[in-house]
Amino acid sequence: MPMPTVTGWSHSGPDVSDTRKSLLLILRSSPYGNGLARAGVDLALAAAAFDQDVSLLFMDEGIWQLLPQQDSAHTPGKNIARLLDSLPLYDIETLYVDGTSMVRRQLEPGQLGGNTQVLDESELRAFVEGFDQVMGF
Amino acid sequence: MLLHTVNKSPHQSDALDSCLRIAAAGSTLLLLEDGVYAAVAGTDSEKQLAARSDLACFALRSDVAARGLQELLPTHIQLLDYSGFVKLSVECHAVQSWY
Repeated sequence: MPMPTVTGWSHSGPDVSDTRKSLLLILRSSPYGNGLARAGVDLALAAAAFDQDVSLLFMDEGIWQLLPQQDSAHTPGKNIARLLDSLPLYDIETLYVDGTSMVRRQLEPGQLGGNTQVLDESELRAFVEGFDQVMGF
Repeated sequence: MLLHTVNKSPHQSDALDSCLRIAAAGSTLLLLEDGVYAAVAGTDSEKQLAARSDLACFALRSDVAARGLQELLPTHIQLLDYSGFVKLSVECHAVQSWY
């Protein structure tokens, strides 16, 4: 019996190459206090899977997402640190961090997981204006 | 330039503080919902806003009125109605909401 065919279907999916946009996610939520941290990482992975140019900026309580020794075995939901570790597979290599938010939490760059780059205030102001779209989580 | 919206009181959240750290010169800030408390004259947050003369600062008129703040706002904060909000959203290339 022949397989049904669907006309107009492209095996490789829709061509999104001409709709590539730069997207900045500003992640300001702690990893397990609510669902926002997970939602932000999910959006980053989804956008990157669709070949969009995604950057992540961690600030305020979002800084806590970057602590590397998260053991979420007895916490509902996936381990945020491990999800963040998977970002390089999606070509998200550098994680940007607000320096002031780190200092206020007594954290040093060496204590954070991933390949992080710390931005000061003047760098942040130039940085956020360089994206087509910005979303906060 | 970005339109930044802030909907939390500065006494409750660091949303405004972080927004002001990130907002580039020439960008626009709109206070709405409990964010309008940031504009009460003489408060630390109002002084922070006054110091950022490189930003265009607005507060949503209906949220100011609902909270009875009409007489408490300084002149450097412009009041905006909903149609003005829509206009700003269209004029700015992207919107970042701080919540």
